[in-house]
Amino acid sequence: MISVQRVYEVVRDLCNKDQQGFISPNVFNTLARVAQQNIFNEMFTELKLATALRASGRDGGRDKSAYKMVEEDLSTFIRTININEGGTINEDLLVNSDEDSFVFRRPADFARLISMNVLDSNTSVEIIHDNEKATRVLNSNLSAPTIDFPIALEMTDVFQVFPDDTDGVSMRYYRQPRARNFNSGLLEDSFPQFIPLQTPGADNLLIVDTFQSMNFDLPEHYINEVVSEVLKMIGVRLRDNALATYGVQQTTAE
Amino acid sequence: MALDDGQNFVTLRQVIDDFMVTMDSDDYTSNASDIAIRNIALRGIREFGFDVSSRIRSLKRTIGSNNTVTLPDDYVDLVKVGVVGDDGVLHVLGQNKNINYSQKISAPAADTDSAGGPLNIDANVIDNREDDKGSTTGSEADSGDLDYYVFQNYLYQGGMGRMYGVGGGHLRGYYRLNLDQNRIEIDTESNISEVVLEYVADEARSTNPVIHVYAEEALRCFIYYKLCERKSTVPANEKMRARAEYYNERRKAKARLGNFTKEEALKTIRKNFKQSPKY
Repeated sequence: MISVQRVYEVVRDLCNKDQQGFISPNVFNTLARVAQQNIFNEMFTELKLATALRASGRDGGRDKSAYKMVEEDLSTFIRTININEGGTINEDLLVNSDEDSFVFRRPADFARLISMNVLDSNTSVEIIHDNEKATRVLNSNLSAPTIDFPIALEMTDVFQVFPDDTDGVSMRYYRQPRARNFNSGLLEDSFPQFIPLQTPGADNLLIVDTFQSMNFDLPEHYINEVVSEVLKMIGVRLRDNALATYGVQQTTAE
Repeated sequence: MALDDGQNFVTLRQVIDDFMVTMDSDDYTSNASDIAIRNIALRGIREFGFDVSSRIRSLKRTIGSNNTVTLPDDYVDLVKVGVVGDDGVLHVLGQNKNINYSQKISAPAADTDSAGGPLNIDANVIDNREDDKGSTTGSEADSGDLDYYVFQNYLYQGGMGRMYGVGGGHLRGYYRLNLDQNRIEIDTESNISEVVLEYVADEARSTNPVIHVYAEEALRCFIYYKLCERKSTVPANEKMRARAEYYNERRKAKARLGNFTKEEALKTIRKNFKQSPKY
């Protein structure tokens, strides 16, 4: 978790360095959500870089491995949900579970699918993303799904499981980043925001309201990235090349 | 006991899971889809079933009204056809390549599979086999007095003589493999209604495909080699190495599965010693 108060204060101080601008909590809140999303997306890009490091033999081994570090950071976002054919678990996700099909939609916070298992078993469900191949797989007497080797076809925002008499699935996925309260608890429907206490007669005094403000849902060591991302956008907003360039440089350096 | 309860057979699921567990992000095969891995693994099991670790299945089949036996869904090649006697021994039928199986044209060909839409998944599943080692239904010729071993048309000193002993090629019946209609034509005594088929089965199509533990590593090498084989990003020397490794592992698996023990050698030699008196 990254404290929204710390980020806000760093950003405010950097913006004010040359007395060129000031960032209000409202503007900050708008940019904070996008900044967090950008960093989350970049984590997946960093996996590619880590793989390249590994391929070139320059990756640190075991616990120092860049790949392992990114995986570790991403593990914060892993979530598992169960959906059964009868619709007794996560009923709202079930689209269709009659005799002929078992279809369910992605959860609202879905980002990337990791794996799927048959509910209460170790049987993996093979995922097909390529819809052109799906028909061929269903027609193949070698690759056709069986109870021991079920498949899930991903299309638009739903998954269809074959064979349709699969009882239910347990889906593991990366969720979208949201917000954390000041006790590090996940707030599933909120995004980071800085809310100051109302201090009558002292409008420029910004004291964080710890009950209403929400922290970033990112590991602590990403604070520099969050600041850089916000600065990049503020630099554009203020048409301040120094700020924007600083933001880009910091992001590149990371 | 299920086949995969034993230690000597490894299920396809285990082979695939082990393959994926050892797969790393910088492997040449790291972006292979689940479905491709499974498909190739099944092809490997099928391939091994032909000449490395053949699965010989024994299955009772009912003789149809037109003296034919339909081949099983997972049939690959025939080993033997016979009937089981009360002694629990399979009495093999002889092959007769002259049994007639001619046809006549009566109706246009039926629809093909592809015309019927997606495959019926339930229909594609091959039912499990269960033990049934009892004798085949239908009685055999009464051999209590060995009448049918005796030839009675031998003239001796003006009367009908008898010649004892089993004649060469005397069998319980005959069969012919009819690959055109995918069945076996049977020519045997009318009271035999079932035959036992021993055949090489396509393990890839069984409900829970397994591979012998001796060939497990060879199968993993096969999966890797086949995944690399057509990838343009994999260097040629890696493809060559994967191929060589696969064939080495396959050779090892074949040697382990087809070993010939000292006991078997001794048994064969001792068969030729007779305790009969010599003159």
